[in-house]
Amino acid sequence: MKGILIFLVLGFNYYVGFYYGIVNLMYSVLLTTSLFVILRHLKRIKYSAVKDFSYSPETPPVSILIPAYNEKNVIIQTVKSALLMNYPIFDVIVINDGSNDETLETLINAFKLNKIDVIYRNIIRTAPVRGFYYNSEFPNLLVIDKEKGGKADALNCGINASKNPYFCSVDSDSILERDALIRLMTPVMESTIPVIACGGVVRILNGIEIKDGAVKDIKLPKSNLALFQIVEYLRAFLFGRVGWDAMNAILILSGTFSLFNKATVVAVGGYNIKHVSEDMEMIIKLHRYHKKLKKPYKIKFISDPICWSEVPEHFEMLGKQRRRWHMGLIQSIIEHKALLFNPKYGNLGMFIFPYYLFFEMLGPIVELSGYIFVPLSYIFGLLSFNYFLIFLILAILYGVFLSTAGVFLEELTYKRYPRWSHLFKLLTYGILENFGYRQINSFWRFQAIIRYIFGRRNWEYIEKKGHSS
Amino acid sequence: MHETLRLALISIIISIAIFICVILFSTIFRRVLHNWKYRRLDRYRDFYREKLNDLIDSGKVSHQLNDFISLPSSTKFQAIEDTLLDLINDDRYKESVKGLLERLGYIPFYEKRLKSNNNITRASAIDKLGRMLSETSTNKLVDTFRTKNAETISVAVRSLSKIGSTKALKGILEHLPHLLKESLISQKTVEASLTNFGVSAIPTIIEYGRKNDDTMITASLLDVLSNLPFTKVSCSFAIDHLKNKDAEIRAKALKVLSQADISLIDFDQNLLVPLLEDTIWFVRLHAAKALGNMRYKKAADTLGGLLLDENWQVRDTAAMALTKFEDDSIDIFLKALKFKDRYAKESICEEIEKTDFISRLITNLISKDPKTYEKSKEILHIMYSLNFSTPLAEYLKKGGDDKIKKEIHLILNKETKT
Repeated sequence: MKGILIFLVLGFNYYVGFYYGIVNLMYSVLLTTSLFVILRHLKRIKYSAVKDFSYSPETPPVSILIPAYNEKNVIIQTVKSALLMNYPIFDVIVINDGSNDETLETLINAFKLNKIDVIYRNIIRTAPVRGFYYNSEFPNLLVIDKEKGGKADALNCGINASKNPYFCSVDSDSILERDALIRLMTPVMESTIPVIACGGVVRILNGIEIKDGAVKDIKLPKSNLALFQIVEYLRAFLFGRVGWDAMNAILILSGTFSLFNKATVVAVGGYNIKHVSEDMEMIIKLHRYHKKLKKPYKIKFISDPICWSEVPEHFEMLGKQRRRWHMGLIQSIIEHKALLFNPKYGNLGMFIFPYYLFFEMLGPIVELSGYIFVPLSYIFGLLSFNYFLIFLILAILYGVFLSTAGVFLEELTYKRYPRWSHLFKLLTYGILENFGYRQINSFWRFQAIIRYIFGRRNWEYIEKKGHSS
Repeated sequence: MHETLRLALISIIISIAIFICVILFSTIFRRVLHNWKYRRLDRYRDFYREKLNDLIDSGKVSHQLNDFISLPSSTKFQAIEDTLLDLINDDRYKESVKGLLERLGYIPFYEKRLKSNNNITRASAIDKLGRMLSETSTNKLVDTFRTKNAETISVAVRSLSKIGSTKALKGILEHLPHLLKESLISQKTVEASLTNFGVSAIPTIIEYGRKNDDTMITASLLDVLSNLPFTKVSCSFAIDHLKNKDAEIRAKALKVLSQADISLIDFDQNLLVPLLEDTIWFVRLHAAKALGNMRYKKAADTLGGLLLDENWQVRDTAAMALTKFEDDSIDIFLKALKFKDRYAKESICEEIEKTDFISRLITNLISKDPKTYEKSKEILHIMYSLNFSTPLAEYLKKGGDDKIKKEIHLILNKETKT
């Protein structure tokens, strides 16, 4: 019996080692790919068509959809920033999703909106709409007040109200850079294969100085948690998504800032209101729809359009956010399980989906078990001190390598954190995040799995602090 | 076995540690280097901007040309290039700067780079030649269409459009069928670039359009014309395509005509009326839009028929078009608002509000013409019954005329009683 137990524990240790090896190999491939892609993209930016398209009447009109639930502290700056876009024809549609604070009143007062009558076509079925608010002084702003139905429902409502062929989803706590929208549209206009969705980079808004809806001065936040998230976002966006995009394998575009072809989204039935992470599910649906019908398409991620978004500064709120993200991942993978190892879906079914299942969705179980079993194996003498130490150093050092690589990519590319103090602070936090922050993240993701199993699949609301101005 | 594994793991750890050190060092070193480089570049730019401005203004730039000659890889070369590219956008300096770019060797330098096998280097050179408005490079830029590289071709088309000469335009048009057929360029890039040529390109575009029989190209050309100022030639070109078999072409031809200035219209607008009954919805939509913009009142009844179209976009456009006929459309609206189709009625109400035609209807409540008064009142009453009453309520709160307020009260009370 004891022999079997020892065999199992040792076997598990090897499995953890193997798992880390594969995951890190995958990350290394992504990192190398993105390094090349970003360097090429930077050279291309110099002759990009952005300027030509930004005043061309041929640039397709876009609706910026901003779903808002209890966002009275942040909504005005977000709307002002959206209205400032450097884009030929666009409108901004704010969807107040049954807020029980003064979100709607704040909007009405700030933009002197009047209630008007607009026909609302429930093309994608949504919770009832209570009213429309408009002011001819801001002809491209429309506020919709509706009953609460969740973020996905609010986005569907915005899609129903939009009269433009493209829409861009933007979170209500976000500030867009002025060229962000046109940069997002450029691949759509330039590609000879239809680009049905395109995502940009999300950066952390906390600490940033805002004036009249635009970023005035870039500063780092005081909160340690927000600083860890800056390094984390750099890593996720600059090498994670860029790498996946190079393989034409993007499965997640952040709902905070993504552009979509409206007709295609309507064709797949709009956002799924049962999902807590509607953005990922939408991308999977789009992939699935096009692969099934054998329609040519592209889903792109590009690294130069930037949207600044607020992140939680308290553990409780961050935990809620991370649990929700992971819950969304689980829901999406389970809902679309038919794709798994299905050769009909090519790369998506045979490689990307299994990767997300085994390494992203189930990853926290292996990681947390590793944190428990490897030290226990050492304590009970099943693992030599040498191996225990080597494994520990390897795991931490590789984490540090990835974090510093993220900061390096930022330095190499857009350099949005211009001061020396910024650079050193980010590098320091890139090292420190491997001592506790990453582990607690794994715990939250693990919690999401447990909650999913026990049927607690509700949306956990995160309170927003508001931007500095 | 264990020893080998241990050594392998230690080697990996050492490699990662080295990588981290390299990254840290590169990050810091790069920042130091860039700070130094860009400070220097900024200094040079300021210096040469002032010097070039003075010399061009005084007409003495040719005498001191040697002061500006530099090696292509130098900071001075880049600083002067940046300065000249800034100045070229100023009409006062355009011609002098074009000459300077040639004489200082920038044009030959980038033309040489067109031969590069590296796509990015080549595209970058093409872009520079376009920004330098180098007409002499037109043939070389057109030659890059043979590369079969979509990125190079897109940049070349945009650069030629910046140069803006007839020769550059002809170069694009000549290769257009092949480029579109081989999917080497997107239709949107072509349309945006051709629009860039401006109004002077219209005769060439039309001349080419008349010879061309490719539907995709014709649609693109019409789209470009619809975004350029309206001219008689573009009007006649569009009219020639109103009966085309391809629906997209018919719609685009209508789009061209819809931007006609009313005072300039000297064609038979009746030609457009049959298109209000086209089988394709977007053709009907553009026909409604065009006739509304032209305020062609003879089409009012047919437009009224579109208020009940099966497609909501067509209904909305027809309603919007009719609001432009002012009081002449009241009868048509009234007739349509008495139909049973609730969606159609709502479309009309929405457009009446959005186009502010409702203000006219409200003002008509004190009209001296009894028919206008009665009809306007009836429309407002129907709108109220369909919940399109916010402007009435707003007038009661903020409006100035007591007689109108009294009439509004009557409408509201009548509805309450019923």
